[in-house]
Amino acid sequence: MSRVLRGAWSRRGALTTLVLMTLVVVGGAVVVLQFARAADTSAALAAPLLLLGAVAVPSIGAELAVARREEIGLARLRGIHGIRLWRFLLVEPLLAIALGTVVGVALGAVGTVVATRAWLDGAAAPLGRTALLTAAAIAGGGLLIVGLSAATALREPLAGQVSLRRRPRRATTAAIFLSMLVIVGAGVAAYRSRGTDGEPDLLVLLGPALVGLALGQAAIWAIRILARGFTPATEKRGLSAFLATRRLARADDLVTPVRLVVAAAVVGALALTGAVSVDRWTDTQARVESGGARVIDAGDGAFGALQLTERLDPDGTRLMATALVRNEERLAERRAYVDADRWDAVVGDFYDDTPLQPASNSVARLVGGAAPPVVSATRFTVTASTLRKEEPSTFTSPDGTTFTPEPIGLFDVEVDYVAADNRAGSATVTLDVPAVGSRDSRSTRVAGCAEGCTITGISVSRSTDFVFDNSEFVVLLEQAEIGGLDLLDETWNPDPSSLQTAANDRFTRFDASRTVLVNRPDGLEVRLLPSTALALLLGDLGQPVPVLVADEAEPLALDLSGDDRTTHVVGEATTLPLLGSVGVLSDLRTAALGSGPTVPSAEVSIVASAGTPQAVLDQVEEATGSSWRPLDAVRTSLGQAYGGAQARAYALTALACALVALLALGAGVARHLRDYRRDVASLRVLGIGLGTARRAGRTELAALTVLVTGAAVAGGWLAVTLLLGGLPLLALPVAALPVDTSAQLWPLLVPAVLAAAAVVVVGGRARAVRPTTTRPSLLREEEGR
Amino acid sequence: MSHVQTTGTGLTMSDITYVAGRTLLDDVNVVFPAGVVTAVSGPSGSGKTTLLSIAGGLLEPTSGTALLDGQDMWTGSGDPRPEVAFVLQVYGLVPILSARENVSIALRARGVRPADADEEAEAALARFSIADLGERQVEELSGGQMQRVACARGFVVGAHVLLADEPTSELDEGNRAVVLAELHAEAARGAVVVVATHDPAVVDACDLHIALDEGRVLR
Repeated sequence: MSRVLRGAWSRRGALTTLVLMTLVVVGGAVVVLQFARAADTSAALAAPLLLLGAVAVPSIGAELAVARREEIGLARLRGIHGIRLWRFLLVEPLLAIALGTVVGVALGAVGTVVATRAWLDGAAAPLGRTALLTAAAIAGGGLLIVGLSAATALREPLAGQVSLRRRPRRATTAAIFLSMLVIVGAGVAAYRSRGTDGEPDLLVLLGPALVGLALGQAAIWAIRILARGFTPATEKRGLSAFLATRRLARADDLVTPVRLVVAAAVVGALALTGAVSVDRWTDTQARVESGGARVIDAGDGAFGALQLTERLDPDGTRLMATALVRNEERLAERRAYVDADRWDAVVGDFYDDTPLQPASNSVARLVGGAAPPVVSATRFTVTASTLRKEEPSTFTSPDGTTFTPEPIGLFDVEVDYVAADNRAGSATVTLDVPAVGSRDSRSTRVAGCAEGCTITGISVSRSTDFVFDNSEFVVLLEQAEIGGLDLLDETWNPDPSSLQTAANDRFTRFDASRTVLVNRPDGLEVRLLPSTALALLLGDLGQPVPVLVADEAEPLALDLSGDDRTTHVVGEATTLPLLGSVGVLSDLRTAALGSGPTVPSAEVSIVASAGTPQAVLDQVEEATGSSWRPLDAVRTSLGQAYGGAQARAYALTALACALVALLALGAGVARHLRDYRRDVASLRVLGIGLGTARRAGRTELAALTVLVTGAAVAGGWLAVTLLLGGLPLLALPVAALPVDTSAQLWPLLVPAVLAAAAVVVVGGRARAVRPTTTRPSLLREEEGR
Repeated sequence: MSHVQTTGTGLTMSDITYVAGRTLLDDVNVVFPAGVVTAVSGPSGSGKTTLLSIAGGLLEPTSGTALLDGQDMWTGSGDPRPEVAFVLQVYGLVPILSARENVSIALRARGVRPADADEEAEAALARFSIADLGERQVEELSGGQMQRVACARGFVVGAHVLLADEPTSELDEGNRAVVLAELHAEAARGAVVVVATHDPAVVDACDLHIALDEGRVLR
């Protein structure tokens, strides 16, 4: 064992890289899988990380094999072959991978706790079987890849293995085939992502990594070809440019890791664009759903919410009632109501710079000018007199029998209302005015209106005790007082359905063409219908209801109880507050006019403006028994409800991919650092100064930086354009805003700049030419080996 | 070898001691005259390469001086003086360059125009019978071919001091003769030519011979 450890120590550089690479891949995969489990998102989001890890590990395996080629040769000379030789070769990487796996699982568990606490606001699940099996599979896969890489060293002729000189490694047919496979895979993933409906397949999820690797490979080919092409042109620019192009064309240390760096940047660009898209969607959707800076559930009744806002904010600048009837199954009746009179004051600039701004600016046009009378009352008092009264008609039955009812002067006046608790109520007063000129005044108790109620209508009917009486009976309602409000100050119209019902009565033969109602300065003249109650509607009720419409072919303006109203479309928008992309928005007060109780499916809320005093907010909380939800809370609940954590899981994958790329870049540089210094020492022996070598390094780095930036931006744009729409960022609710997955500048630039910065920093260390580390005497036989 | 006529300025190494963990050179006093080929021989670890490194200004001696025309060979940086050319035992070739570029870059470093440097490099490679390998990367060459590229690079610049460390170690007899002939041609134009070697045949072909053992001059 001590011999194994001594051997491992002598190759600690490559083995440390293998440990770290395993740690990052295993740790990253565990975090993503555990986070996905906690967030109930797809575990396959870790796929790009596994692919990048699989691409990064072979170079480490090859390095280990090259480092041991002499040992392998000597072992073969000693007659060690077959399994013994493989065991000899794989013990070290096995130990390294096992160590990396164990530490990776532990760090992954810690990372999961941190990530779930930060983004999910919950406890992390214990390590699941999937995560542990994946970690084991990564370890097994890593060992397999290292073994395959080492097979190259085993196949090397014995003479070559025992030679001190290293031979350049040519790209194998398998490597070229795999590169082509990656490019083809990227194309197929892009194609399949367009047809994705619901859960995408594994290839689509691998797509960003495949596109990144393909772009990275293309970038390597491009820089090799360009560097070769530009070499003659550099002859006039001095030795530094010449050396830089030659190194770009032929050296591996910085150019080869570009593939992984670009791939990681592309995954990062996709993750960042996805996160930005989700954040923007969540923010805008949260604004759609909340309707204002903060919102609170207001129970069942829109009438109560209206009264509450009136009571606590009589100026109409802080609080606003809203109601939403989602009707996700019947989108034709999807509707919402806002107190349009208060909209501008309460909502203000809440929707500025969002897709809802045009609709928000149009809400003021919904104000209809009519509002239902709202009162607080315990008594209902009516005063009336008789204007005309005929003797009752005589009825003749089929058998010839005649019947003349007794003259009766009784009639009922009923007031209908909806109480604050959304219950419908009524109070009826019966008056007795038997002859022309007689006058009566009566009062009755009103139930459930002490806390306020909304008057929806009144009706007047003969009190005939089931006796048909079609004699003319015209009364003058002089006063109908409730809660200090004389209802007769309003303008009233007969309900056409009442007249129709009367006209359809074959016994009474009511003439529907005659005037039944006259709004007079001194009261309301009513001709009582023979057998049915005459329902009176508030005068503005017949007016068309102004509505804003989104994606409704035949918009319906329903009142709060779901009854049809005449519609007047004042505007169309792609997105409406409260409703999203489908629905009809109208004024709550207009909708409440003459309406019955709010339908049970309505979600009634009160919205408060940003600057509402805490005392007012507290009063609303006390009155509703609910708690305010600020925009952030709505945003968070939306993210949790519709899978916003998916973007977080993808961000974790991107972070782990970035670490893999950084590790590969650093390992590539470290692997070749000694060779590079020897190259500079060789140049110094020829009389080429340090300044030239430094300029060459800077030129090389500048070219690589431009290349990486360009490839990362191009790859990111391609991945976002081709793949993001097919990835399951969110499970969108009905009528939600669409997620904008188009490419945006800064999410593309940030990963590209970070990738370029990594190249500059790591490459800068690699090209840091110090006089002592590149002294020509390095090449002396004693020091050179 | 005792009847050698020396010309021009030689390279004088006085009281050279070099200690790096152990004493590699111990009070060495030698003169490498110009116009002759001087062989430095000795077993492995005797200090041949160290002596050449100090002679070329790659190493600063622990004590003593190496002077050429009265100028110390040690410049303070470990870079050789422009008038010095090396053929290193480990060749010192730049793997990212082709064989021709490895030769021509030595000329370009001395201010020769690229086109002229390429032309001279082609000619130098031809002298060592490897003109056809000019476009190959040096890592693709065999040991002997690489050694000849290193020789072509060392010889092509026409340096006043040519220090060759085992320049024929991987060459066959014919190519060894070519290299020896070129060494003598360099000396004939007045250069200080020093060859460190194990090979008795090379020693015999040189004009002067200095033998080292355990860092001391034996003869």
